[in-house]
Amino acid sequence: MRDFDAAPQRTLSEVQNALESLPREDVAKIGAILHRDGLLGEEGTVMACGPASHMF
Amino acid sequence: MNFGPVSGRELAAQVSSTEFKVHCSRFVAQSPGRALDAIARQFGSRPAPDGHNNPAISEIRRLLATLVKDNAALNGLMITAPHSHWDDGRPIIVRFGNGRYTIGPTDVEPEEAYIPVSFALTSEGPLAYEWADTSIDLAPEEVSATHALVQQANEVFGTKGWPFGLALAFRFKTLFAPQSVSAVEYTFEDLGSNEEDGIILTRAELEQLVPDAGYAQVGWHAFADETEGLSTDASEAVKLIRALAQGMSEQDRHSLRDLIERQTRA
Repeated sequence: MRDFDAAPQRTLSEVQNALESLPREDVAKIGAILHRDGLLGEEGTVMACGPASHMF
Repeated sequence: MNFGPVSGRELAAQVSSTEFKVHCSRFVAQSPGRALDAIARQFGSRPAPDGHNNPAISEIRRLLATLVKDNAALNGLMITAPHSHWDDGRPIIVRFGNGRYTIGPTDVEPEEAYIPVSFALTSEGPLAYEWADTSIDLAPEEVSATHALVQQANEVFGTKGWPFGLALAFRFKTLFAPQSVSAVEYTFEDLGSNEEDGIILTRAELEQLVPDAGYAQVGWHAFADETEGLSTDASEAVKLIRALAQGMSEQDRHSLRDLIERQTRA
Protein backbone atom coordinates (compact mmCIF):
# COMPACT_ATOMS: atom_id res chain seq x y z
CA MET A 1 0.00 0.00 0.00
CA ARG A 2 1.16 3.56 -0.69
CA ASP A 3 2.54 5.67 2.09
CA PHE A 4 -0.17 8.29 2.28
CA ASP A 5 0.08 11.58 4.02
CA ALA A 6 -2.05 11.65 7.14
CA ALA A 7 -4.94 13.72 5.76
CA PRO A 8 -5.51 11.78 2.54
CA GLN A 9 -5.14 8.53 4.48
CA ARG A 10 -7.89 9.65 6.83
CA THR A 11 -10.02 10.67 3.86
CA LEU A 12 -9.55 7.31 2.18
CA SER A 13 -10.34 5.57 5.45
CA GLU A 14 -13.61 7.48 5.56
CA VAL A 15 -14.35 6.32 2.03
CA GLN A 16 -13.51 2.74 2.96
CA ASN A 17 -15.81 2.93 5.98
CA ALA A 18 -18.61 4.28 3.78
CA LEU A 19 -18.19 1.46 1.28
CA GLU A 20 -17.57 -1.63 3.34
CA SER A 21 -21.16 -2.12 4.49
CA LEU A 22 -22.48 -1.87 0.93
CA PRO A 23 -23.06 -4.76 -1.48
CA ARG A 24 -20.47 -5.12 -4.24
CA GLU A 25 -22.94 -4.16 -6.95
CA ASP A 26 -23.64 -0.86 -5.19
CA VAL A 27 -19.91 -0.19 -4.88
CA ALA A 28 -19.53 -0.85 -8.61
CA LYS A 29 -22.36 1.60 -9.37
CA ILE A 30 -20.71 4.19 -7.13
CA GLY A 31 -17.47 3.68 -9.04
CA ALA A 32 -19.29 4.27 -12.33
CA ILE A 33 -20.88 7.47 -11.00
CA LEU A 34 -17.61 8.88 -9.70
CA HIS A 35 -15.80 7.95 -12.90
CA ARG A 36 -18.41 9.81 -14.95
CA ASP A 37 -17.93 12.80 -12.66
CA GLY A 38 -14.17 12.73 -13.31
CA LEU A 39 -13.38 12.14 -9.63
CA LEU A 40 -11.27 9.01 -10.01
CA GLY A 41 -8.16 10.61 -11.50
CA GLU A 42 -9.28 10.01 -15.05
CA GLU A 43 -11.17 12.00 -17.58
CA GLY A 44 -14.84 12.49 -16.75
CA THR A 45 -17.50 13.17 -19.33
CA VAL A 46 -17.13 16.77 -20.44
CA MET A 47 -17.50 18.94 -23.50
CA ALA A 48 -15.18 21.92 -23.70
CA CYS A 49 -13.82 24.75 -25.80
CA GLY A 50 -10.20 25.76 -25.89
CA PRO A 51 -7.88 27.33 -25.34
CA ALA A 52 -8.96 29.53 -22.46
CA SER A 53 -7.25 32.60 -23.98
CA HIS A 54 -9.90 32.70 -26.67
CA MET A 55 -12.82 32.27 -24.36
CA PHE A 56 -13.66 35.78 -23.24
CA MET B 1 -39.85 23.55 -33.73
CA ASN B 2 -39.49 20.85 -36.33
CA PHE B 3 -36.89 18.37 -35.10
CA GLY B 4 -36.64 16.44 -38.32
CA PRO B 5 -33.84 16.82 -40.83
CA VAL B 6 -34.08 20.16 -42.60
CA SER B 7 -32.95 20.83 -46.16
CA GLY B 8 -30.07 23.21 -46.75
CA ARG B 9 -32.43 25.51 -48.58
CA GLU B 10 -34.80 25.71 -45.61
CA LEU B 11 -31.93 26.01 -43.16
CA ALA B 12 -30.28 28.90 -44.99
CA ALA B 13 -33.61 30.75 -45.02
CA GLN B 14 -34.21 29.98 -41.35
CA VAL B 15 -30.88 31.30 -40.04
CA SER B 16 -31.04 34.46 -42.15
CA SER B 17 -34.45 35.37 -40.73
CA THR B 18 -34.78 38.24 -38.29
CA GLU B 19 -36.65 35.97 -35.87
CA PHE B 20 -33.75 33.52 -35.68
CA LYS B 21 -31.21 36.30 -35.19
CA VAL B 22 -33.29 37.84 -32.39
CA HIS B 23 -33.65 34.47 -30.66
CA CYS B 24 -29.94 33.74 -30.97
CA SER B 25 -29.03 37.11 -29.50
CA ARG B 26 -31.25 36.28 -26.50
CA PHE B 27 -30.40 32.64 -25.91
CA VAL B 28 -27.00 31.86 -27.47
CA ALA B 29 -24.00 33.65 -25.98
CA GLN B 30 -21.31 35.09 -28.23
CA SER B 31 -18.50 33.14 -26.59
CA PRO B 32 -18.00 30.31 -24.10
CA GLY B 33 -16.87 32.83 -21.49
CA ARG B 34 -20.04 34.87 -21.82
CA ALA B 35 -22.16 31.73 -21.64
CA LEU B 36 -20.43 30.68 -18.42
CA ASP B 37 -20.68 34.21 -17.01
CA ALA B 38 -24.43 34.14 -17.60
CA ILE B 39 -24.63 30.96 -15.54
CA ALA B 40 -22.46 32.48 -12.81
CA ARG B 41 -24.64 35.59 -12.67
CA GLN B 42 -27.78 33.52 -12.21
CA PHE B 43 -26.46 30.84 -9.88
CA GLY B 44 -23.55 32.50 -8.10
CA SER B 45 -20.76 30.44 -9.64
CA ARG B 46 -19.76 28.55 -12.75
CA PRO B 47 -20.61 24.84 -12.70
CA ALA B 48 -17.96 22.49 -11.30
CA PRO B 49 -16.58 19.88 -13.73
CA ASP B 50 -19.10 17.32 -12.46
CA GLY B 51 -21.93 19.89 -12.51
CA HIS B 52 -23.33 18.85 -9.14
CA ASN B 53 -22.97 22.33 -7.62
CA ASN B 54 -25.47 23.79 -10.07
CA PRO B 55 -29.16 23.38 -9.18
CA ALA B 56 -30.33 23.74 -12.78
CA ILE B 57 -28.03 20.97 -14.01
CA SER B 58 -29.23 18.79 -11.13
CA GLU B 59 -32.88 19.46 -11.95
CA ILE B 60 -32.40 18.77 -15.65
CA ARG B 61 -30.62 15.51 -14.81
CA ARG B 62 -33.38 14.43 -12.43
CA LEU B 63 -36.08 15.12 -15.00
CA LEU B 64 -34.18 13.25 -17.72
CA ALA B 65 -33.81 10.28 -15.36
CA THR B 66 -37.61 10.11 -15.06
CA LEU B 67 -38.13 10.39 -18.82
CA VAL B 68 -35.81 7.74 -20.22
CA LYS B 69 -36.85 4.14 -20.72
CA ASP B 70 -33.27 3.12 -21.47
CA ASN B 71 -30.47 4.89 -19.59
CA ALA B 72 -28.27 4.55 -22.69
CA ALA B 73 -30.23 7.46 -24.16
CA LEU B 74 -28.59 9.72 -21.58
CA ASN B 75 -25.26 9.01 -23.26
CA GLY B 76 -26.69 10.87 -26.23
CA LEU B 77 -27.09 14.19 -24.46
CA MET B 78 -24.91 16.79 -22.79
CA ILE B 79 -26.23 19.70 -20.74
CA THR B 80 -24.57 22.76 -22.23
CA ALA B 81 -23.84 26.47 -21.88
CA PRO B 82 -25.21 27.58 -25.28
CA HIS B 83 -22.73 29.72 -27.19
CA SER B 84 -21.27 30.23 -30.63
CA HIS B 85 -17.92 31.37 -31.99
CA TRP B 86 -19.36 32.71 -35.22
CA ASP B 87 -21.94 35.22 -36.35
CA ASP B 88 -21.74 35.59 -40.12
CA GLY B 89 -25.33 34.68 -40.96
CA ARG B 90 -24.62 31.15 -42.20
CA PRO B 91 -25.68 27.96 -40.40
CA ILE B 92 -23.14 26.41 -38.01
CA ILE B 93 -22.54 22.89 -39.30
CA VAL B 94 -20.62 19.98 -37.73
CA ARG B 95 -18.96 17.67 -40.28
CA PHE B 96 -16.71 14.63 -40.30
CA GLY B 97 -14.09 14.06 -42.96
CA ASN B 98 -10.53 12.82 -43.29
CA GLY B 99 -10.77 11.39 -39.79
CA ARG B 100 -11.56 14.75 -38.26
CA TYR B 101 -14.63 16.55 -36.93
CA THR B 102 -14.89 20.21 -37.97
CA ILE B 103 -17.44 22.87 -37.09
CA GLY B 104 -18.15 26.32 -38.45
CA PRO B 105 -20.36 28.55 -40.61
CA THR B 106 -21.11 26.78 -43.87
CA ASP B 107 -22.57 27.43 -47.30
CA VAL B 108 -25.09 24.61 -47.04
CA GLU B 109 -26.11 22.41 -49.96
CA PRO B 110 -29.73 23.23 -50.84
CA GLU B 111 -30.82 19.62 -51.22
CA GLU B 112 -28.75 18.06 -48.45
CA ALA B 113 -30.38 17.19 -45.12
CA TYR B 114 -29.15 18.70 -41.86
CA ILE B 115 -30.02 17.48 -38.36
CA PRO B 116 -30.26 19.91 -35.42
CA VAL B 117 -27.76 18.91 -32.74
CA SER B 118 -27.45 21.85 -30.30
CA PHE B 119 -30.34 23.60 -28.59
CA ALA B 120 -30.93 26.39 -26.13
CA LEU B 121 -33.85 25.88 -23.73
CA THR B 122 -36.25 28.77 -24.29
CA SER B 123 -39.80 29.84 -23.51
CA GLU B 124 -40.52 29.63 -27.22
CA GLY B 125 -39.41 26.04 -27.65
CA PRO B 126 -35.97 24.48 -28.06
CA LEU B 127 -33.84 26.80 -30.19
CA ALA B 128 -31.61 24.84 -32.58
CA TYR B 129 -28.38 26.70 -33.37
CA GLU B 130 -26.00 23.99 -34.67
CA TRP B 131 -26.66 21.21 -37.18
CA ALA B 132 -24.88 18.05 -38.36
CA ASP B 133 -24.60 17.21 -42.05
CA THR B 134 -24.84 13.70 -43.47
CA SER B 135 -21.13 13.03 -42.89
CA ILE B 136 -21.99 12.52 -39.21
CA ASP B 137 -23.20 8.97 -38.64
CA LEU B 138 -26.36 9.37 -36.55
CA ALA B 139 -28.86 6.52 -36.10
CA PRO B 140 -32.33 7.96 -36.84
CA GLU B 141 -33.99 6.15 -33.93
CA GLU B 142 -31.35 7.46 -31.50
CA VAL B 143 -31.73 10.97 -32.88
CA SER B 144 -35.52 10.76 -32.46
CA ALA B 145 -35.19 9.57 -28.86
CA THR B 146 -32.75 12.33 -27.89
CA HIS B 147 -34.78 15.00 -29.70
CA ALA B 148 -37.84 13.85 -27.75
CA LEU B 149 -35.90 14.30 -24.50
CA VAL B 150 -34.87 17.81 -25.57
CA GLN B 151 -38.50 18.67 -26.32
CA GLN B 152 -39.72 17.26 -23.00
CA ALA B 153 -36.99 19.01 -21.01
CA ASN B 154 -37.83 22.28 -22.72
CA GLU B 155 -41.51 21.88 -21.84
CA VAL B 156 -40.54 21.80 -18.16
CA PHE B 157 -37.57 24.18 -18.06
CA GLY B 158 -37.97 26.45 -21.09
CA THR B 159 -39.80 29.10 -19.09
CA LYS B 160 -37.23 29.17 -16.28
CA GLY B 161 -34.88 31.53 -18.09
CA TRP B 162 -31.91 29.29 -17.36
CA PRO B 163 -28.89 29.91 -19.61
CA PHE B 164 -28.57 26.21 -20.35
CA GLY B 165 -29.17 24.01 -23.34
CA LEU B 166 -28.89 20.41 -24.49
CA ALA B 167 -26.69 19.04 -27.24
CA LEU B 168 -26.52 15.67 -28.94
CA ALA B 169 -23.33 13.92 -27.82
CA PHE B 170 -21.99 12.17 -30.91
CA ARG B 171 -18.37 13.26 -31.01
CA PHE B 172 -15.90 10.34 -31.14
CA LYS B 173 -18.73 7.86 -30.58
CA THR B 174 -22.21 6.83 -31.62
CA LEU B 175 -25.00 8.71 -29.93
CA PHE B 176 -25.99 6.17 -27.28
CA ALA B 177 -22.48 4.83 -26.61
CA PRO B 178 -20.87 5.97 -23.34
CA GLN B 179 -18.58 8.96 -23.67
CA SER B 180 -15.04 7.66 -23.43
CA VAL B 181 -13.10 10.86 -24.14
CA SER B 182 -13.72 14.57 -23.67
CA ALA B 183 -14.37 16.61 -26.81
CA VAL B 184 -12.73 20.03 -27.07
CA GLU B 185 -13.88 22.48 -29.73
CA TYR B 186 -10.89 24.41 -30.97
CA THR B 187 -11.35 27.28 -33.41
CA PHE B 188 -8.65 27.98 -35.97
CA GLU B 189 -8.65 31.57 -34.77
CA ASP B 190 -6.90 30.11 -31.75
CA LEU B 191 -4.10 29.01 -34.01
CA GLY B 192 -3.67 32.51 -35.42
CA SER B 193 -4.87 31.59 -38.91
CA ASN B 194 -7.68 33.23 -40.82
CA GLU B 195 -9.67 30.03 -41.18
CA GLU B 196 -13.26 30.20 -40.06
CA ASP B 197 -13.76 26.58 -39.09
CA GLY B 198 -12.99 24.93 -35.82
CA ILE B 199 -11.76 21.42 -35.20
CA ILE B 200 -13.04 19.13 -32.50
CA LEU B 201 -10.24 17.38 -30.65
CA THR B 202 -9.92 14.97 -27.81
CA ARG B 203 -8.36 16.53 -24.75
CA ALA B 204 -5.24 14.43 -25.34
CA GLU B 205 -4.97 15.76 -28.91
CA LEU B 206 -5.37 19.34 -27.70
CA GLU B 207 -2.63 18.91 -25.13
CA GLN B 208 -0.36 17.48 -27.80
CA LEU B 209 -1.16 20.32 -30.22
CA VAL B 210 -0.89 23.11 -27.66
CA PRO B 211 0.77 21.95 -24.43
CA ASP B 212 -0.78 23.60 -21.38
CA ALA B 213 -3.63 25.04 -23.44
CA GLY B 214 -6.45 26.01 -21.16
CA TYR B 215 -10.00 25.17 -22.01
CA ALA B 216 -13.39 26.10 -20.70
CA GLN B 217 -15.87 23.37 -19.88
CA VAL B 218 -19.19 24.08 -21.60
CA GLY B 219 -20.91 20.70 -21.38
CA TRP B 220 -21.83 18.40 -18.50
CA HIS B 221 -23.07 14.81 -18.50
CA ALA B 222 -26.82 14.18 -18.33
CA PHE B 223 -26.91 11.46 -15.66
CA ALA B 224 -28.53 11.90 -12.25
CA ASP B 225 -27.34 9.54 -9.54
CA GLU B 226 -30.89 8.17 -9.50
CA THR B 227 -30.36 6.52 -12.88
CA GLU B 228 -28.09 3.93 -11.23
CA GLY B 229 -30.86 2.66 -8.95
CA LEU B 230 -28.83 3.03 -5.78
CA SER B 231 -30.05 2.07 -2.33
CA THR B 232 -30.50 4.90 0.18
CA ASP B 233 -27.26 3.93 1.92
CA ALA B 234 -25.37 3.89 -1.38
CA SER B 235 -26.82 7.28 -2.34
CA GLU B 236 -25.57 8.71 0.93
CA ALA B 237 -22.18 7.11 0.35
CA VAL B 238 -21.93 8.75 -3.09
CA LYS B 239 -22.63 12.16 -1.60
CA LEU B 240 -20.03 11.65 1.11
CA ILE B 241 -17.35 10.32 -1.25
CA ARG B 242 -18.03 13.04 -3.80
CA ALA B 243 -17.57 15.70 -1.12
CA LEU B 244 -14.36 14.07 0.11
CA ALA B 245 -13.00 13.67 -3.43
CA GLN B 246 -13.42 17.37 -4.24
CA GLY B 247 -10.38 18.22 -2.15
CA MET B 248 -8.21 15.32 -3.31
CA SER B 249 -5.11 15.54 -5.47
CA GLU B 250 -5.01 13.69 -8.78
CA GLN B 251 -2.83 11.04 -7.17
CA ASP B 252 -5.22 10.53 -4.29
CA ARG B 253 -8.10 10.20 -6.73
CA HIS B 254 -6.20 7.35 -8.35
CA SER B 255 -5.92 5.80 -4.89
CA LEU B 256 -9.65 6.32 -4.46
CA ARG B 257 -10.25 4.50 -7.75
CA ASP B 258 -8.01 1.63 -6.63
CA LEU B 259 -9.85 1.44 -3.32
CA ILE B 260 -13.24 1.24 -5.03
CA GLU B 261 -11.95 -1.44 -7.40
CA ARG B 262 -10.72 -3.48 -4.44
CA GLN B 263 -14.05 -3.06 -2.64
CA THR B 264 -15.88 -4.15 -5.79
CA ARG B 265 -13.89 -7.39 -5.82
CA ALA B 266 -14.04 -7.93 -2.03
